[in-house]
Amino acid sequence: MKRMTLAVLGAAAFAVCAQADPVTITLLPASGEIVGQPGQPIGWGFTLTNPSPDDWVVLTGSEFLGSQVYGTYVDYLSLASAPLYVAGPAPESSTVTQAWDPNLLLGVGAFDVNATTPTDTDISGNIVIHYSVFSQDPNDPNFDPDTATLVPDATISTSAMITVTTPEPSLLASLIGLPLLLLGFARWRHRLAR
Amino acid sequence: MVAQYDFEDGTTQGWGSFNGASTPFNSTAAANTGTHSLLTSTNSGGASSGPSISLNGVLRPGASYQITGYVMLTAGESPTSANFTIKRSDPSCSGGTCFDTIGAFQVPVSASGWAQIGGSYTVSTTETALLLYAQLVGPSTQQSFYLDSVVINQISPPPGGPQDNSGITANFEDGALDGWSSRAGSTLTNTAQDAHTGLRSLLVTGRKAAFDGPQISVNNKMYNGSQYSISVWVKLGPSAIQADTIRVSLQVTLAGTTSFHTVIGNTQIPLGTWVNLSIPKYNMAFAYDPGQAFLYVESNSGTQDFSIDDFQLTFIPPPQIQTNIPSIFQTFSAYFPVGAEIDSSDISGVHAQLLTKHFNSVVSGNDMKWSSVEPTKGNFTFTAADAQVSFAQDNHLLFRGHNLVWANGSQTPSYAFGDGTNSPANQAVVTANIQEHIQNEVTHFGNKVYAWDVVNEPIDPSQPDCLAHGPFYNVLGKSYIDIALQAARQFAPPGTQLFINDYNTDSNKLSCLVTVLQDLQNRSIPFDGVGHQEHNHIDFPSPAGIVNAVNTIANLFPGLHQEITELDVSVYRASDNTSNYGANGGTVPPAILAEQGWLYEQFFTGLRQLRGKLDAVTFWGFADDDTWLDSFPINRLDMPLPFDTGLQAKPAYWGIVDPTQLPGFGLSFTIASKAGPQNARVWTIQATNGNVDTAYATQILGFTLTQVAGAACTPVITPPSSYPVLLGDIPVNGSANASFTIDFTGCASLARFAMSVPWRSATYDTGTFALGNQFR
Repeated sequence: MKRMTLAVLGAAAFAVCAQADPVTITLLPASGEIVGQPGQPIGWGFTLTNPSPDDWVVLTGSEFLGSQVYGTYVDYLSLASAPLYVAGPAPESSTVTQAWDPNLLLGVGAFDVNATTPTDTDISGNIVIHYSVFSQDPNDPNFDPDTATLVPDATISTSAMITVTTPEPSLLASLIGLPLLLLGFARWRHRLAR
Repeated sequence: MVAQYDFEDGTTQGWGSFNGASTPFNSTAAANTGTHSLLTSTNSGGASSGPSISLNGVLRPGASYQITGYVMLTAGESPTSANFTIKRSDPSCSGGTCFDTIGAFQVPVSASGWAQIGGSYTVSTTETALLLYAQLVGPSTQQSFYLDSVVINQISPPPGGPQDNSGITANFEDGALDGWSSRAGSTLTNTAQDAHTGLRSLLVTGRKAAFDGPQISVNNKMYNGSQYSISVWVKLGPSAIQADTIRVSLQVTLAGTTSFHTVIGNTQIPLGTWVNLSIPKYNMAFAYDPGQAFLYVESNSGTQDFSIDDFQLTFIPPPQIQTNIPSIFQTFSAYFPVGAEIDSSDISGVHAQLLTKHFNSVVSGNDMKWSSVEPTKGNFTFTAADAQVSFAQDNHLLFRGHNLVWANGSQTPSYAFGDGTNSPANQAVVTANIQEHIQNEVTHFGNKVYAWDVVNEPIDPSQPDCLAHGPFYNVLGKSYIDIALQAARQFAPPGTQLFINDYNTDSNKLSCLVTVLQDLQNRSIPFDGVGHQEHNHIDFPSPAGIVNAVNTIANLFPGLHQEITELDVSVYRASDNTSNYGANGGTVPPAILAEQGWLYEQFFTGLRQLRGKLDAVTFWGFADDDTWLDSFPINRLDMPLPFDTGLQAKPAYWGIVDPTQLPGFGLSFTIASKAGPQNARVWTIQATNGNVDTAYATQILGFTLTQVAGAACTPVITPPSSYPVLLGDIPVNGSANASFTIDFTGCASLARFAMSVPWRSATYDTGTFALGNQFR
């Protein structure tokens, strides 16, 4: 039902523009399924596509619609520091891609997994992304939001899931075991040398 | 067939041990039918012990049954005799307990073949508990025997004929008396002079006594053991000169003896007003001879005329538990065991089903307290607690003991305090009392109890020494705590965890709790854990309080066990000792239950973050049909637990297990429109509810814009009203709007803003509608 509501909003937006091709926002990874560890943030990037020749789309926010008893969702798109992501006709590009970057707070957002969340917990929900639609390029110096705003706030929803796990044994070995192995090898060599 | 126990599922099917017999277990060594039976060894005396099962709620008072089973001794045992006996708790029995042999007292049994025991049995109409057990008669040493193919069939129902669940409706619109008659000579008249609804009602005049008035037969309509809702409207007659007090009562006659029972209590009826007398759930607990049950309306005194209208008697089907919802304890299996407080009514029937589905730990609410197990010095009674412990063992539930010494003397017999003075002689008496009580109790239960609340509620932050100055303290000072803990350590099996248990440890008692624990630790007094009771309210304490308390204790006392021991959440505010949602037939509003559900969600989100520091979480009860808060601090309806009075999952349950099922989950916000000139731009915020249930009391708490690009300017925001802006109750998939007028004078076209709109719904469902890169 939620998705239907959003689809209606989207349809309204593009009806105004007589546009055939809808806006699409794809999470990165596209499956929306990511793997996180207790006490760590994990998040999503995105690819925004707006094939319309007549209007421009600006991403404005996101939210995680699901249980947050295992952690907290942090929206990157609504931050004051968020870049102005615009997809549309030239001089803009119809496709904008942003990888998830927890250091620069770039991407859709992050899920901070609680340190006490048990491994093998699956946290499922929907990520709802907000965007605005304009009849004029927001980067145009003559842009006038009073007349160019077609849809102030539309949304697209997509499923997402975080699987909480511990590092793979092989990774553990590389992180912990290998240095120990090297240390032991060095000591063995040291003993041989005595 | 009422019940059958064939043990073919490989379990004990609820059978436990009676009177010192070994705990029965499922065996495939022999079987009367199929391949399984139940194997038990008697106590060392050989007789009067064996496997047992509660028949509470299984057999109906007044009904007759055929109860049979088969017994065979294990190989090598000498032939003897056996029978079925029912231990009946009944105020009509001498000492409150009868032992009823079913069928022959001595049925010869041997190891060479199966012998049938049992016979017919008519249930007493005054019984309060029934325990069926198989026993050997005659041996003087321990013997082992199998039990199989136990079948209970009803021979005849309780007197009065088949149950009629169709109820009774009387609105008198047909001009007749609708089955009502006079009790003692009063005159009943169907009249159009007045009516609660419709055009007519029943007027009662010429009453001969206070008990005289209209009565209606409820023969077979109200059945012993069933529940009913009852409602009637009453108005004083035209001749009445003053307000009156009216009630609804029940008259039943059984075996020639007539008794009278209040159904709906005294209710004030002012002059000239229709008043509803109702009870949402009445437990019919009386058998009666055919045709000998009547509901009637009477006054407390006097004989003033009155009218009745719109009478309704409705049968309430017995509850069935939901089997398709997640188990609470399994949901938290990676975190901590989840327990519930129980009493004798919880270990059989549908309550036992609900209990074992959702909980893997239990605590006895009252049956292990001093006044319950040792009401007089040296005389111990463990019957009720034993039954609960046996039930727990049969169902693989942990059992925590509550409590050994209660600081304020509650539920403690007065002899425990001696003469109450701190004379050396009395100190010796009370010390011995504590030691002997603890020795006997913890020894009796042994390792069946994994933890004891050794000292209950010892903290009092208003005292300089942080200790409650109760009757034990008044005799012994703080040493009563030492004595109790040391005795528990001495006599409880190794590994038993000894707890200090108290309330408000999340708030005003925390610092004193730390002080007392440090003192005990410094003096090497043994203790292993702290119990945080957590009897909470809809507005207090904050979930952050318990998180802070557990973290504080964990940091200061590494390795100390911690448990939530008595969790419930009253639907009333902490300061409210007068309200009653149940008044006048009312109930707790769904908005309050939703609020409670979201509060439970916050609470358990916090508890999840205490994984590794919290050893167990125990609710004080599990369903709202049985909660101590119905009588504390006053008699009123409270609904503090995960399941409602019909044993169905409430929002509280979903807040604990799956918040996505809470009312209002999925509430989302958008900017529906931006319109108007630059100096009066109107942004309309729209809240849209999800598809679970109503989003109650939704509010916008603020609206801010933070400029992120463009030449600096200062938009002026005018909300539609003062904050919070009320959006009200938003139905499923419904929406509500609020328009904010913003003066962007001085702001360039390319100025951009980050918008922040904090909101809340159902008080504890909170969030912030935040969008970045907003043009005006």
